[in-house]
Amino acid sequence: MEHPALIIYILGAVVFGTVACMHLARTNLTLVRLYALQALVVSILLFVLGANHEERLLALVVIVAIFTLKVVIIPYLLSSLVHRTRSTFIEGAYLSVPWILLGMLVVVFVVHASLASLSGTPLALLLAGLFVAIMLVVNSKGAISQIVGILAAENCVALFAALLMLSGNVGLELGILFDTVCFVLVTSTLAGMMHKRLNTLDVSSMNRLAE
Amino acid sequence: MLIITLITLPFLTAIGTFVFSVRRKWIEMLAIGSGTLELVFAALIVFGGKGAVAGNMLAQYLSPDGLGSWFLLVVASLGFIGLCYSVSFLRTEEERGEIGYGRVKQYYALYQLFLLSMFVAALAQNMILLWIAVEATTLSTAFLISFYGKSTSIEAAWKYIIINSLALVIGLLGVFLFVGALKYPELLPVIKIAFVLVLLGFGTKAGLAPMHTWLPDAHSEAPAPVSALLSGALLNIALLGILRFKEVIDTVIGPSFSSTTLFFFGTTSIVVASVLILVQKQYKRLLAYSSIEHIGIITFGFALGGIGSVAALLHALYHSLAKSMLFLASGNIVLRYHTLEIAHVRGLLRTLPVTGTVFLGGLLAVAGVPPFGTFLTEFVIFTTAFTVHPVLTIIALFALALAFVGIVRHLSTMLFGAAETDIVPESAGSVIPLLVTFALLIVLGLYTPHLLNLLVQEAVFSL
Repeated sequence: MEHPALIIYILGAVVFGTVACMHLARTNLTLVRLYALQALVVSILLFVLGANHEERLLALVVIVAIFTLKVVIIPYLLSSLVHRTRSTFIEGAYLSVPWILLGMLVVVFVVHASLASLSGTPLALLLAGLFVAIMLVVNSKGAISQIVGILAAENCVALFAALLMLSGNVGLELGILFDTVCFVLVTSTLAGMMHKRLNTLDVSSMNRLAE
Repeated sequence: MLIITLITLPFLTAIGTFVFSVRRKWIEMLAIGSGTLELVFAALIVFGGKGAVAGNMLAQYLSPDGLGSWFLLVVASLGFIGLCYSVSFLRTEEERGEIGYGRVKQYYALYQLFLLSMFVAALAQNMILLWIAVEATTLSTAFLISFYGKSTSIEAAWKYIIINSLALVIGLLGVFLFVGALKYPELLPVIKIAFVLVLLGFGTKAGLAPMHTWLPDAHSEAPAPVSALLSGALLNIALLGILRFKEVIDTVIGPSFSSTTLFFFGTTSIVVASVLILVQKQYKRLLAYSSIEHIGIITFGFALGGIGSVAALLHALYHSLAKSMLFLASGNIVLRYHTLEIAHVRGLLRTLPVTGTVFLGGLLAVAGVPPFGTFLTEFVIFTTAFTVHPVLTIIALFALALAFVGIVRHLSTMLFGAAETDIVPESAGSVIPLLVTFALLIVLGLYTPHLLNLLVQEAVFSL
């Protein structure tokens, strides 16, 4: 592997690693920090990829926006939610850690086996990261875990597209970023409302509409 | 210029709602005035021909084609009717002490942002922009669903935003793979996977079974005019997202793959919804499941292509009108009976004669009874489908029969029986929007104006 390719691969592996660690996190703040770390790695990766971009200046604008919003503002909003609701510890999950690890192993194996031709690129790792993030959303009982799971999944998809040079133009990339920030604002407000009503961020306690 | 105006208007109105919030009357006038202008601009964009959108600087991203125009018109019309109804609805809710004035302001602003995101989605000519707009509909409606701030409405809003956002992230991967398949020939083999991912993403938003779980909760917990717009407009917009990708995949690899997947989701939706209609205890949930059933029928029609697509487009229109009207009528019922339970509503035809009649008409329309247009469109879809997929058609027809039994059973419970004496009579503001929608449903079911016919032809041409 050449140097940039190796760097990209390692950074892709870190992105996957952060999603995997989110399953093992025990406090909500650890979860938020893992997300901030993932977003930082995504920004660096985009910066590395943007070095060959035709419109370098515009690419830089997007990277700065991503850094500001995903590494600084979104973690700040989520940390405020944790402090406001005093929900230090994660609310739990449906599956225990051994089962989660087994699930992750199966996901990584299946994705790598299906995408054998892409070995040497982090694409398979990012796809596996997406599925592991989906597992986090489905398996968690905590509202913050679900929010972070969706954000992590979005990071994996955005990076996957960037590696294949499929992202839209600057306007569209900023549009997706805008939606992401709005998502955090809306979900953190809703989580605050949930805490006020039910005194918990455990989403499994909301079961009055179950049929 | 018209398109930019149509996009800017709801945004400015949303801001104006807070600027002019000193008096309640001002924000009501602003909302209705803006709704009227949006309808006029949408009609000008749709029927004004190329001259109406000449000089559109955003043509690469936003421009009206047949399919988008059809849904744009539906969104603008239902948006306007919903706003007219909202005035009396919110006043009554405030008088009952269910909400404060702050919530009213928030409602009108979010309603406009919801319309804005649907306008953009209907006009989007870029796959990523379409995704952004559909995701924006999720974000703008979450607080409309949690409007009452009760634990059940927060639960519904949470389910809604988490399920749809997760599905749309999966859909985003599909969108990027789609773009990749069109850009790089070596990625062409993944176009089928891309379509399935897009279908999962946008299909969840459209309420297709088995990804429909958010829909009954959101529709039943939202205020009635929002439920009307969610069911009548938003489901169509999400379906439009699927159709945009269907157009492309059919051109690239032929229609058989998209048809097969759409048949699967269409039939599943019809069957799942019909069974659940039978066992419903709440009338808003009943209407929500009926929406899933009809989205299934529309998907089934689009899977057929040709005449099936014509019928599906018309069915989408009739269903939107009927379902919006039913949700608005359900608003009148809940405001006067103070319950969502079917068993607790009796003698509706006597206590609320206009609402009761409209409710009867609407439920017969969604059950596909003549002379409503839904009868004809369902007849065309299933007679055409019988020659292609006889087994699936029989399964779907059996399910529709079940749904019909369920609707009639629940309807008879609510409409007849001893009338309650302490029910507040209907006000003009609460029934005029219902009557206008009912009139449109009947007239358009019996006669399709020439301009609408042309629009259907143009829309189907691209499918």
